[in-house]
Amino acid sequence: MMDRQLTDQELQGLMARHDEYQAQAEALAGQMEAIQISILECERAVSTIDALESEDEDSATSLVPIGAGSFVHARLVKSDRAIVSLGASVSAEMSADAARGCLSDRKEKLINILGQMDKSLKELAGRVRAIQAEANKQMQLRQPDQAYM
Amino acid sequence: MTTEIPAQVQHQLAQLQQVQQQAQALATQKAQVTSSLNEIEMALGELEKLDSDAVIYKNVGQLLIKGERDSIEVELKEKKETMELRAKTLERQEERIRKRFQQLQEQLQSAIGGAGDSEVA
Repeated sequence: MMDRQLTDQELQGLMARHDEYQAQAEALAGQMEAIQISILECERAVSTIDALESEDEDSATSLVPIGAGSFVHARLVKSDRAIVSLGASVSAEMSADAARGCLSDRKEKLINILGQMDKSLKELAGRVRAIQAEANKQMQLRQPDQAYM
Repeated sequence: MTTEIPAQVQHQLAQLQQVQQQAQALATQKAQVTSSLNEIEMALGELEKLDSDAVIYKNVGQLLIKGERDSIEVELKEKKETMELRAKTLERQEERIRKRFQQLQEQLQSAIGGAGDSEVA
């Protein structure tokens, strides 16, 4: 924090940095939201694999969504196998256990990334708060000057 | 004291804004390329972990088409090379834009400084 009164140019620079950090924080928050959705998707996929595995292939009544809240009847075959996306438009068929492992690993990685991003977000928020405090201080320092104007 | 901005300064300001927009567009493109590159590397890593007889599919729109593991791996590696090349090109473009931005910024600062001096004089 500065103890002296900043020049107009320095104050403008400070406000520009404030806006930049805030924009970075907003972008980061948006990315974090997307990662949280991916984590939930991994959890949902694992739950589905668990649920299907416990079902009897012959007796299980399954309905497949075709959009607009509509479904068609479908017979479940190979409920012990799953096709998991590997990224880059490539998917691989694997056993239910391997799919669970793959999805759980992915979830762990995403949780770690989310943790790192949260740390960065807190750092940015700290910088924004520090600038806001400095700006408030500068306003107070300027007020006596303005009283003479 | 006149508040009108000189035409030359206006022109430099417009150029600066244009360069800034170009820099932002480049940054977005680079982020997309980096993201694709990471995704390809991740997919290649996952492919390596799979058994040799694993069944691999390629996403074609909403469909999954069964494919040959080797050819998919080759395709991914080629895609990776293309993306790496694209990333390098974007880096070079970014560097050029950064230099141009600095140059324009300095020109603008000296133009504003010069205008200020002449006003004082």
